[in-house]
Amino acid sequence: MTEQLPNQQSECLLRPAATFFGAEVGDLADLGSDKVAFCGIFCDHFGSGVPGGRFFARQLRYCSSDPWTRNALSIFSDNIVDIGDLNVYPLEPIQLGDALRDQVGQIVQTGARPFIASGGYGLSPAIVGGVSDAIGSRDLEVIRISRFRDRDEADNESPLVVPRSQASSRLIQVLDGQENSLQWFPNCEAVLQEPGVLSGNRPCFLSVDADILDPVYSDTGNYRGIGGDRPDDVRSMVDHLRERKIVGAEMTGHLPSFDLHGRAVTNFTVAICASIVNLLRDEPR
Amino acid sequence: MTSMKVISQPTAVRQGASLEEISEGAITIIGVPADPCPAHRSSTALGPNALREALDDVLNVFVSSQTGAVEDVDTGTAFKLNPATPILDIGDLAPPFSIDAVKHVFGLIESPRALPLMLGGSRDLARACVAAVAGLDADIACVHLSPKILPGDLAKGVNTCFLGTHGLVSQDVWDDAIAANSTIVCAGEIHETGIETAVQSLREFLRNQKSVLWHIDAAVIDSGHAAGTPDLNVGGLSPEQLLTILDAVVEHSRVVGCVVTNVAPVFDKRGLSEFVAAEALRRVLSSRLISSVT
Repeated sequence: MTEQLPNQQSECLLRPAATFFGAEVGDLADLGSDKVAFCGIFCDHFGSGVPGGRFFARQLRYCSSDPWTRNALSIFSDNIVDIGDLNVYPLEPIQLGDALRDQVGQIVQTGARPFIASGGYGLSPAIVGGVSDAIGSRDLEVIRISRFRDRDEADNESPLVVPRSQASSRLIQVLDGQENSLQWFPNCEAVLQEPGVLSGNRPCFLSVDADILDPVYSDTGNYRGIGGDRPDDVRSMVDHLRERKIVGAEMTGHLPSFDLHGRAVTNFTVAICASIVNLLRDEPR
Repeated sequence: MTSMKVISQPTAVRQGASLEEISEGAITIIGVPADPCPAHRSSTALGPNALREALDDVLNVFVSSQTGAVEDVDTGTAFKLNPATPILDIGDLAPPFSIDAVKHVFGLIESPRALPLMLGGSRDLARACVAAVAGLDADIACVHLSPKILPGDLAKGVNTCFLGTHGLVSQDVWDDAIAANSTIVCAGEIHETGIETAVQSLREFLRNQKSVLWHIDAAVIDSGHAAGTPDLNVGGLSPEQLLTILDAVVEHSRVVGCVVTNVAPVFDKRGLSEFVAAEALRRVLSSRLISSVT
């Protein structure tokens, strides 16, 4: 009999519901100090002028739960719990900010470290507020990597969710106005050139924006241009943060389309998120 | 042999031909429209025709010139397609695709000393091609431009070079490759140290070979630049890196056969994946395909 090359056979596969990295679905009761709590925020109303970030978590679930993608990127789902999307009130900024702060606080109080597929950086003051409340310290340091500083003036009395351009200012206010609580870097190389950031003792929240990526690797509403970091640059930078006590992380700014191109570029974001999750689950902190 | 059917129309670059019409020295295109198994993210079956069109585009610069020559503006040297090397297209293999048929095609290397150019098709095709050249009574080495090292990529008595390796490789296969004294140049090394080391390693490998089968796996290119492949390669080579490396060894390619795999045009609406593969192909074939005009 003649040996044949493998060829396609039609096959119908039933797959389980998509979760982050194919992780188990759970809630607060399933979290603990050895877990990474993966959650999404279906809201971008305050993130930036371009809508779409709200779909990040959904596309991330679709792409990262695909066994083929997980195999290609060597992703495993141990110690990850997909706790779903946080409750949001898109038309009520005050209630939204308070709700996000409260929910994130509850997650961190379990001992788990949250990874948030966020709709936009404008939500980050509320998220960081929740982390800060739960660890009982305003000594939290936020490492923000984005092309933009987003330091427009913000009102100290404004809601915890703000337009993206004010997010950094509002975030510093949440952390008692300490300027050194926010370390901003425009790209991964800048992080690596700052040794103090790689080895500091303070608890740290990592915020990575997709706008640092070369546009061939990303869908972002904030940056159109040529050049930027590669996914491997981000993964390498994340690897250098292993000495830090990372208590939570978020990724922002990825605005996925739902066509094949959108799926392809989301795979790069999956690779980045996987490296951050590996950092978070390294060991109980 | 498995029957042939011509799908793509002959063009100014490619002439249609039957097996009997293949002459000595002819670059002989054969498509193998095979999808991978299991069939996740398939569409490599559409690869052969996409590659034909891309190759036409890449070589059209010669055909569209009134004199048939193009000039390198840096050196002032003029080049044209080598008239002694016709490009013949004998169509696609008809499914089911047997390894015997692939072996038959690579028999063209011995008689009538043609240069088979196999357009795939799934990555599995490389395994069949390596087995085919290993079975010939000729000293043919193999260069895999691919992120993967798979079991069938190595064959007894076939010197092998892997360039652009990236991601996980099975320990057994890696050990086998090392034991077989294969040359391995990883994509990470190229990113860290630049292309010079890769060029030197590849030159050194080619210098010691009599003739070479080149395997171009479209997945060797980073998925950000060439998404049209069933594989996902985050951190692969950029098109510039690959083409510059090939430019540097173009005179020493010692090519006697070529296979291109893993082009899945459905995933790349811009068509860059097959275009990069065709550009790589032009460089690999350059020593046979293109001659300078004196």
